[in-house]
Parts: sequence; C-alpha cells; structure tokens
Amino acid sequence: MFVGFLTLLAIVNAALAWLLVKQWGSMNRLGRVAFGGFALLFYPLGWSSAVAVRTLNAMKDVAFCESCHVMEGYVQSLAVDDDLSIPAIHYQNNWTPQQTACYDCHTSYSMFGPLKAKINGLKHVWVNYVTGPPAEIKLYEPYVNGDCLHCHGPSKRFLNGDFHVDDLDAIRADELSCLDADCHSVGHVIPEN
Amino acid sequence: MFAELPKPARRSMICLLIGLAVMTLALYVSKALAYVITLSVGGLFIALGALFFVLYFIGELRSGQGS
Repeated sequence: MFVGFLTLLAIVNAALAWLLVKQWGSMNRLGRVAFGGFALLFYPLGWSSAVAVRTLNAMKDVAFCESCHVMEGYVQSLAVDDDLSIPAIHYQNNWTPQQTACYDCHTSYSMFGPLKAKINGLKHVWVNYVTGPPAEIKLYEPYVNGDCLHCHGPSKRFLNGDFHVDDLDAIRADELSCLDADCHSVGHVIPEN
Repeated sequence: MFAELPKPARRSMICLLIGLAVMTLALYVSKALAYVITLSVGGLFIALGALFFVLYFIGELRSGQGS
C-alpha cells in the first residue's frame, strides 16, 4: 500500500517536471524559481527521504535476511522445536516481533546500535557478493547482557530466578554472560536438510 | 520545449528523472545488493538534480543583481 503510494508520488513528481518544462516559456523568473524549486529540489528530496526510510525499514524483515543463501539455515532455526534454543523460543513465543526477529536481537539497544547494524549490513553485502561468506559465521563480539536485560531485566520471572538474584551484579556488569555454558548457551539450532 | 531551459535546469531535470526511476525500483527489489545499488545510485542522481537546480538558482540571482 505504502509502496504504491510512494510510486504514485514519483509519477506526480515526473508530471510536475513535465509541466515545468511545458510552462517554462510562459513563466516569469520568480515563477520559474518557485516552481522549479518545488519540482526539482524540495519535492524530490522529501520523496527520496521517504523512500529511504521505507526501504531501511524493509531491511529489518526476516525475509530480507533470508534473501542471502547463507542466512537461510539461521532463519529456519527459528522454527525448530527446541525449548532450549534461545532464538527459537523468542521467535515462537513472540517475545521479539516475529517479522523483525533478526534485527531486534542482533541490533544493540544502545544509541548507535542501529547505525552500527547498518554499517555491518554493508559489510555483509560485500562479504556475500564479493569475498564470499566465511566457513564459520560468528558474532563480531560476544552478545552483551544489556541486550537481554533490556527486556528481561525488569521482569518478575527474571528477578525471581534464584540464579539471577545470586549473580545479579555480575550479570549486570557483563562479568557473567547470559549465554554462559551453564546458563542459556543454546543459540541457533540449524536444521540439517 | 526542453531546449528552452537553461543548461543547469535541464541537467537538473534529467538527473531528477533518472533518480526517480532508479529509486522507485528500490521499492520493489528484495535482494540486499539491489537495495544498495538502487538506493545509492537513485539517491545520487536526486542529489545531483537538486545541486544543479541550486546552481541554476545561483545563476538567476547573479543575473538578477547584474541587470
């Protein structure tokens, strides 16, 4: 719907440009600058910003991540029936929005998290199309507890867990990882096809 | 008709039309590489179109001061 609307706005812009060319000879200098400024400067800049926002949002979709072959297994792992797999239970219980599950879990909640994710995304395009994906895909850095605690930190279930209470300071300080071998260590369980 | 336009305005118009066409494609693609290419090329042409119009505007201002 929104895509169709943006396309329509592009056609309107092209029509305005055509009208500008047609009326150029009959307009005075002020008219040319005002109409030209609208049709060739402000309108297209506003339109292209809207298109950029729309496409940047579309890149958050799981379907977009899956468009690279190397990610297909990771997306399939979201549907695996395994209660220990952190990505699978988050996806299947809708603890993270299902449409944007990859983006929500792999983008830090920090101020520059989304920007960093976009820069990494450009690297991924380069790796996928130019150098080729590595044999083993790993996170750039260990998963920070802050991203888990962003949602779970204030929850009653988390705060009532004995292990969580005992090690709360260490968890909050990132000294004890949520993904520690003795805790929630099962990540993506990639199905064997 | 098109030839009546001063050079910067003509260039602005051509860049705008190319930019509109390429950036509209960005709304319909689904592959990462296609997103990157359509967004960057389309955005570049739209920006160039805007720049050429600013050049035309500056030219108009100068010729206005001179007359």
